[in-house]
Amino acid sequence: MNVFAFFIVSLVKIAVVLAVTVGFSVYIMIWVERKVSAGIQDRKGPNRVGPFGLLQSLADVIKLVCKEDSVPSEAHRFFFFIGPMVAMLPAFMTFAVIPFGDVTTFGGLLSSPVRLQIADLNIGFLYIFAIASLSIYGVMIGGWASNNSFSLMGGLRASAQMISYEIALGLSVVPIALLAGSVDLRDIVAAQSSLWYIFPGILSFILFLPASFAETNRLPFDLPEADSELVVGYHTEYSSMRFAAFFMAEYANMVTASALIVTLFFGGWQLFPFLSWQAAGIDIDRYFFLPVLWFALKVGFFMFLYVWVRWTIPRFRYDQLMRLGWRQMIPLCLLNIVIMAVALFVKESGIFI
Amino acid sequence: MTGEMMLFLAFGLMAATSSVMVVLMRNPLHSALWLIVALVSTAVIFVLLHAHFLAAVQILLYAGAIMVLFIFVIMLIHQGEKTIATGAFDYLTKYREPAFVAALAVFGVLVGVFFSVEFFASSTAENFGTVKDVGRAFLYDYFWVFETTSVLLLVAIIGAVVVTRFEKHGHTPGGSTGSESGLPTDGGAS
Repeated sequence: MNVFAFFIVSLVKIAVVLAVTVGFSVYIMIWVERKVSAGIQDRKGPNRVGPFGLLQSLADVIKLVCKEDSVPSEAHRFFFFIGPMVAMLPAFMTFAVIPFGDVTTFGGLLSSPVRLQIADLNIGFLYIFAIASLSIYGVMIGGWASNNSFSLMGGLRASAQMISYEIALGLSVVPIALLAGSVDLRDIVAAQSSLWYIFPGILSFILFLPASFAETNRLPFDLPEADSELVVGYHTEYSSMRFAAFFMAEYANMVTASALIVTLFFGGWQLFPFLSWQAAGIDIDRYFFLPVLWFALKVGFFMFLYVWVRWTIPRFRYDQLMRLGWRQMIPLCLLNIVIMAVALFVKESGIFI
Repeated sequence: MTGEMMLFLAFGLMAATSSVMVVLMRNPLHSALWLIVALVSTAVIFVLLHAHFLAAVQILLYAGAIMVLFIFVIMLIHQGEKTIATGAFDYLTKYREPAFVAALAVFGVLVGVFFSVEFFASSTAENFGTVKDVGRAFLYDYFWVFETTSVLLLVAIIGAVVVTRFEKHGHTPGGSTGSESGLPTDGGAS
């Protein structure tokens, strides 16, 4: 298709994805977090504002917008302003390469098929890790610009933690790239039509899940936000919409991490571990929304898992966290790569079989 | 004026100006942030040259890890009251004029070199610069170079660890901010 049509289609895709991940998911996640934490702690969550407390998030947003926007007098003004923006930008950019559907012509509506993925890059998940590594700056700048030693310590701890677990995050996914023969997320999802990679890549999943918890600063790795230790860490001095920006960035990061887990290990938009949409006889060109909804359900489950784990497990101490990341996860990741490479080599060259 | 040309102009200009701003800032943290802008612009230029893997690695490692550590150091080791205005850096700034002349000379030489070379748009292969292509180059064509470079990196890591190692029964060589601050026990029971 020509450049203009491509541009328009991409804009529509971006608008839809932003609306769903930012508008809808963040809103629902706040409600889910409060209701699930209430359930785990044997109490009711918000149930007064709207049915089942669903409008509570809206009330919170309105409150945050109307709050006084205080800037500490000694804060570094420019960095104080851009800190939340720098935190939000990578959170939204990472979703660009996640495939939430296959090619579709919307049931014959369009002349040429459109892929339900904003950008089909051949560097695939390397792009996600690259952009995720930029999200460290938001935390660091936010912590430093507040001119508050608790914030600075929170920011530095958060960034040290995120750098440490970035390595484990990237290394744990290398076996998946080996299995699929490509780092392109479209290829990885397409290769899972016969078998989801959670089965051969179970070790990778076991290593990737904690690393993604650490990257998004969620419990059990949420020392940077530990209430009892650092006030609120790097976003102590941010009020109203600036705090909302950090908050949204954290939830958007969670959505991306869940989407990545689903894409890499749970087949993306594929139907069942051993059954694809085509094999089940469902025409996903016409019923294009079915894979998308299925993908959304899977992502929703993992976001629920994030909340569930948060309210169940106590947080790590800092030296335990560092030891886990450097001395335990990285060697395990390297061992995992070797095991997978050897297994694939044996399988493909047929030496011992 | 194709889209590619417009992107190159925009990001080339951004790379050039941010590089200049790196050396013009008084606050070292501002310099570091301008350097990040320069690195990201360079990554975009890599993409325009079909070197996708290189662009991803540039952002992942250079802008995402190395610059973070730069900023760590700048934030933690604050120079305090030493600024150019107080004369703390006179031992450097007295060479300002000769340095400027030398930089102009180097620029002139580079301009001469670039204008004397015939650049041509070489046709690139279908999957040039993709992960598959670079990986294949690493493991087939440039295998020994790749492995030797890895060993070099390993040597650098071991050297860094040895240089910053602490004495278990004495005082640490520098300040210690991390977890293993000289205590004889391993980092706590797990």
